[in-house]
Amino acid sequence: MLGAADIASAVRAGDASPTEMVRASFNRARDIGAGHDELNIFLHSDQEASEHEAKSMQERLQSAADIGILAGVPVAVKDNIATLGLPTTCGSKILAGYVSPYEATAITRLRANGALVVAKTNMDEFAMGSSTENSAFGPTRNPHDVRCVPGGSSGGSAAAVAAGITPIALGSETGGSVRQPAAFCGVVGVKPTYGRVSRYGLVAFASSLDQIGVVGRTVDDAALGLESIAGFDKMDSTSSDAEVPVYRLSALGKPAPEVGAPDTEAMRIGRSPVALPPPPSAKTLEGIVIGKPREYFPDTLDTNIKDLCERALDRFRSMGATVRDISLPRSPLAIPVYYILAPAEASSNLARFDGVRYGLRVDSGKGLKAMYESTRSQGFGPEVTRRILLGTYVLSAGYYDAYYKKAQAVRTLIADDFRAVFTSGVNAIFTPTTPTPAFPVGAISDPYEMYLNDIFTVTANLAGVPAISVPIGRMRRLPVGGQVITAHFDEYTMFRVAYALEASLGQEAHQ
Amino acid sequence: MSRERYEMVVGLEMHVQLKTRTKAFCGCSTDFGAPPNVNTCPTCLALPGALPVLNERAVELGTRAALGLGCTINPTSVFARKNYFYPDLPKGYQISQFDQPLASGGSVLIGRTEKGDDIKIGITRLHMEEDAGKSTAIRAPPPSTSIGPVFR
Amino acid sequence: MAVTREDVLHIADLARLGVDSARADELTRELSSILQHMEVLSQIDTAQVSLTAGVGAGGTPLRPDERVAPLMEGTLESFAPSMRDGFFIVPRLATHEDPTESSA
Repeated sequence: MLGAADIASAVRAGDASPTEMVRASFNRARDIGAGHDELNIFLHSDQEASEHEAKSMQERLQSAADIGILAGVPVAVKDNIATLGLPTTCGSKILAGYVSPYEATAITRLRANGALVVAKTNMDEFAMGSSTENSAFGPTRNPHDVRCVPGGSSGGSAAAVAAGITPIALGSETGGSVRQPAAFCGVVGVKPTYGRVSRYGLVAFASSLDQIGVVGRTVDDAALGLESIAGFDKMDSTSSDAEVPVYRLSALGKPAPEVGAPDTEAMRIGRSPVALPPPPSAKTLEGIVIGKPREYFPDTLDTNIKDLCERALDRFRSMGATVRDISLPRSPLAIPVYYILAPAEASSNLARFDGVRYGLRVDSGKGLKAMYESTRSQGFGPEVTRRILLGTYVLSAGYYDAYYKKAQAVRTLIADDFRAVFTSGVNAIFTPTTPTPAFPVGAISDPYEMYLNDIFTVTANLAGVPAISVPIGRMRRLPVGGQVITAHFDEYTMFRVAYALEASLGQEAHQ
Repeated sequence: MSRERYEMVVGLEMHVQLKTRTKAFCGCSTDFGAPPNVNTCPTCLALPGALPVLNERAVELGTRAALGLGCTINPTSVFARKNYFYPDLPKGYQISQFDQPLASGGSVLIGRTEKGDDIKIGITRLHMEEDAGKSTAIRAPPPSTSIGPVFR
Repeated sequence: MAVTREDVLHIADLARLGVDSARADELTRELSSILQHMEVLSQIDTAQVSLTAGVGAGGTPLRPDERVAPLMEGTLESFAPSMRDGFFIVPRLATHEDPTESSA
């Protein structure tokens, strides 16, 4: 599977047709075994409908000059993002068969840019999980080692890209659910700044944390994907009207062009492949200060992961960056804070699944309350049930102050730590993405032990800052990811550092 | 038991519909008389993924009411969710205000005592919230089907 | 603070989750165990710290009071579990014992 930018330019030039791209995608899906009884990457797909859409796009291409930066690019979408046509089940029985009558803003934008949604991918139920084992429709297998999980909750999306089915996939993040599976699957995963991408049509898990994220085969795919969906949406009161830069320009290793400057060169580059960036040099990251937070490199960190991170830091230095030791002191509190706030919000967001207007209804003829209880107890899996109960408990009278309000206060402290670092001259923070590589299906049964998978990712969600995971090597043949975090709305610098690392490591990132 | 030891205190909670053309959190019409569930959208149906956007006129009218009642407007007020289950509550929560309402204080004069003193009723707080338009429970015709509330 | 079985049954009722007896015991153990890890937060001094409800730009955007036709395809019937004449039909509430017409 080619990169997204290459596909788009080939399609716009008439060298490839959207139909060919869609067919290639489905052929790859068949070859790799994306179906239920195999890797279980896809929950829903409709090749005929996709080819029909591809044909319409071909016709549009012939009449219009340019149909967008993702012309003909096949994209996979996590099943908690509303699409027309294909169902949106959130990996749950309670929404089995539900087809949304409206589509998410991010999907509308993808389509407007010429992308073709080829499948909805498997996920942990309602995005609650770190392994995709909590799906009501079975776990997804990691294409690098089918005994292992792909990570979660966006496991299907990460696997789709890792398997070469699509160059880009949409996922969602609440506590690391795009970055962690990207790390486990050896691909790139981006969580944008909170408010960068519209949440309209993303089924809410924790409203103050959720963001749609992008999985890409390379940093370039992820940057292009994010460019195509980011920006203000009047349907989402939390969406930001900050300008969306041409992220792909950061591959050239220069600071962002001034906002609003009539940079026609930038526009041209944004709409066609970026002029090949020069190979990394001693000046590529000149002037960039990279923070290495001690809390993310504990003595207990796996030595393989530590070594791969140190190698990445050496590469940063060799490209002219300065690496500085820093501290994000409240980071160790992030998991307790997250597992109070996210379930609390979820307990409220999932109340709408009551069997009244859509989805599963289990009515045993014993009245309304019984219907609510049967529907929800049969419709929700054990992890979702656990989190709704946890959330309801921490919000209930008598416990609200001690848990929920306390967690909100500590969240402020965690966000303050990032603020302090980014206002002290540090441009980007580098950490491991996960404490371990992908683990075998069934290996972790203790809920809290599963939560610890998010230990390095969850702070960025709590603070609302953007973060990206990039492959930095292998251990025991399994992929390992390194994470770059930057200040709010500074995805440009995040991509700049990520592009440089990817170019510097080259094939070593996958060995 | 002496009568003077007890004083009756009466609180009144009044729900006043603001005269807006569209709903509190979506652009659907508030007109009466349309067939059921026709003036709906993903937001007021609480479809998965839908989001609320606050009606400017609702804030304007709420503020006007607060001023008319002599209340102090809070420059920052906060919407909070009141969580419970009911068929006319599609989201399973009502968007209301709790800790920091739109306004507080204020009063209403409702007449004079025989001595000529004003009878002043204090207003504790004034806040904005969404409410179900109307709930009706009717029996569905044939006896084999269930009866239950409908909502619009 | 340990979670009790009564707590679990009470909150399951609030959340309309229908938890059966065996599961209630399991959940009591699981929730107690998870909440143990949260105890560390009680040691953090947050007396002077503001609460973060969200990390957005701040302020609530307002929408003009104008009718907008919703971008929706298909009919409500396409996803409603039970519908008749445009009404969503639901099982009877316990409070609606008298099946003659009543208004709320």
